[in-house]
Amino acid sequence: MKKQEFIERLTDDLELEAGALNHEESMLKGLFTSLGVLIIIALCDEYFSKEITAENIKSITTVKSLMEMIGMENFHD
Amino acid sequence: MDNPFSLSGKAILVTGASSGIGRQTCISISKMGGRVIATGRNEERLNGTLSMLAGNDHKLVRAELTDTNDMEALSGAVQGLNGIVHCAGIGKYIPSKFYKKEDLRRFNEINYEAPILLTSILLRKKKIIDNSSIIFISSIMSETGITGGGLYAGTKGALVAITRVIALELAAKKIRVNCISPALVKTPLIDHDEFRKEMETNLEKHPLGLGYPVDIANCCVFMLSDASKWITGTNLIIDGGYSAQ
Ligand SMILES: NC(=O)c1ccc[n+]([C@@H]2O[C@H](COP(=O)([O-])OP(=O)(O)OC[C@H]3O[C@@H](n4cnc5c(N)ncnc54)[C@H](OP(=O)(O)O)[C@@H]3O)[C@@H](O)[C@H]2O)c1
Repeated sequence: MKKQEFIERLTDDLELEAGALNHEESMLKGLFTSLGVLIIIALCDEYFSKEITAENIKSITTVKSLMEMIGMENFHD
Repeated sequence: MDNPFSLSGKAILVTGASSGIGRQTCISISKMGGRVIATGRNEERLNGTLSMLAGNDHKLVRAELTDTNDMEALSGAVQGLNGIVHCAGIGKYIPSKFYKKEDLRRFNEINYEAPILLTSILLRKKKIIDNSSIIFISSIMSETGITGGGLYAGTKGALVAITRVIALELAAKKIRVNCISPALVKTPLIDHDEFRKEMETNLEKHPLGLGYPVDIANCCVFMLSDASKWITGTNLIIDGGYSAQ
């Protein structure tokens, strides 16, 4: 998936304001409600068939760290 | 004096007997003198349960409850049941905008269809004798919501609703039908990565702390025994005070 597309989908799925996440270094930490965590888990499964756990999510800080957890091979410019 | 809580002479079928609440329920039934027919999928874990039971008149039947043939075989392998505890179940948190047909089906198949169809087959084959007690393990989520728990809650609420109907239909035979609805109980179902965070956040919502399988098993013993012979069609909540708030 294109990195930009991922950032847009993430913004949309987390129901953040457009542009709230505008690059890979955008901070995700602090944006997670309990529903937010479940949404991240569900979107990783849906878009990448990648299972991540609520425990894994604790170590996510930025959009990039989430992408790294999913696997950078899944993304391109 | 006769002990109304004794299960002596009673044969009880327990599903989900290979783990958690089901396993402990088998142990508690056996300690109260009951004979257990334990069913689950994983043979090794089922044997583990068997090794923990008091007495030796018990039986194991391996069955995948979503498989019609296994269900038939299970119903053929039992007779003269005085009680059933439907414990088998699955859980997963999924937010509502990510619901998928496959997930809905899987939840329904295991948490709702399997216990209802098994009960129906056993009734039809006259395997459940008069004055018996049927228990469905529902969940506190049949009464209260938890973010992400929708698909699970739907199946558990459905059990509570159908329980009242089956209870009415079987009352003439003095067969009692009830749900038991626990809040968080420390079992393999919730004691893993995905749920750990949920457990931490939910701990403080349980005034008496998290539950243990034996807390549920003891209520099953009561509901299976003659001590509860005037209780039918209910949903017994066991939640350490979770819903008192
Ligand atoms: N733990 C809680 O906090 C909690 C709270 C409320 C309600 N409950 C309910 O209590 C019941 C027992 O939960 P638990 O915590 O003891 O769970 P658990 O430790 O995960 O055990 C689940 C049991 O269900 C069996 N099972 C699952 N899918 C099956 C299938 N397709 N066919 C046959 N057996 C199947 C498993 O068999 P195998 O081991 O052979 O796979 C296992 O014995 C469930 O209905 C659950 O919804 C639990």
